[in-house]
Amino acid sequence: MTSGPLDEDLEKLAELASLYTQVKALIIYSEDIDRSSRSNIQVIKELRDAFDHVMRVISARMSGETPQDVEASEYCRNNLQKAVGHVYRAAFDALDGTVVSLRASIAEIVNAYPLPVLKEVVPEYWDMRSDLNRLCENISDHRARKDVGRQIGVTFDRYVEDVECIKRFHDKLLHYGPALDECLKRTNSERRANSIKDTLRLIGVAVAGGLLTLLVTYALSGAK
Amino acid sequence: MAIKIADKTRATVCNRLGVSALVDLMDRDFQDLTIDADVDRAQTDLYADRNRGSVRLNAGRFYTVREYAKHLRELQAIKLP
Repeated sequence: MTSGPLDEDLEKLAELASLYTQVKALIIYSEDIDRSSRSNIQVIKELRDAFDHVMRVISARMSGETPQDVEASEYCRNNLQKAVGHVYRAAFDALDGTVVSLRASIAEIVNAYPLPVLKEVVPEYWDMRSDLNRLCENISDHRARKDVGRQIGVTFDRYVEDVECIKRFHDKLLHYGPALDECLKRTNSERRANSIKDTLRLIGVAVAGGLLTLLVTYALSGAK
Repeated sequence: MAIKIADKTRATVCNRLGVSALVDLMDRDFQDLTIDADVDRAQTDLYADRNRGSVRLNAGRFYTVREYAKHLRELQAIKLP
């Protein structure tokens, strides 16, 4: 194998490429499920900045020149680390978008059914709702993740796992659609039947009351 | 295919940005995007016909920073039963 100017950076570049492959999929998914099919400009900006750092490395290695007082290896290592950071931030922004899109879609589904129906068909709904609320609150803190530390991979994996969990819940709700419709139909017809029974009962009570009044009036008038 | 920026353009850019050569700009960061320094949607509309880049961006299918922040707030405000 011949040696090249980027030999020293290959390991880090491979790591970046592997991360990017996964993040790209998350970004495309996020764009795909966005309710108005829009891209988030912040994600595009992070990818632009990642590309910029990679180009700094390639340029430095090709020209053999780095900014003053910076050793080439250190310069390239730092820039590739920054590129990794930007790709992670693009992923976090995309995942934030995924969470809000899924939440909006879940809200649309669950708002179409009364609580007793949801409770009967999807017993785990309340646990999932609590997870969903927690994740949506976390989004507000996403600025705190701007500084990509050593634990970023772990944080990222946990976030992906959480989003997976919401996605499974969303899929489950879609899957339960026919059962929810069926349960709603049954509940409505039971309510209608109960309503007819109640009406008949009321009519019965009214008629009985009327007859009783009539009898009492008759009895009283007979007594006179 | 290699491109070569004309000497006059090179001089104008270097002069404006206060560097002696284009390579001196390699370590300069792009402008950040924040609510205060956001994408100007009117400008993207203006240049959409001339832009050879993303169709999605030209068609305005994107959230600016301000729009996205608003979008997040609205969606977070949706209460689940």
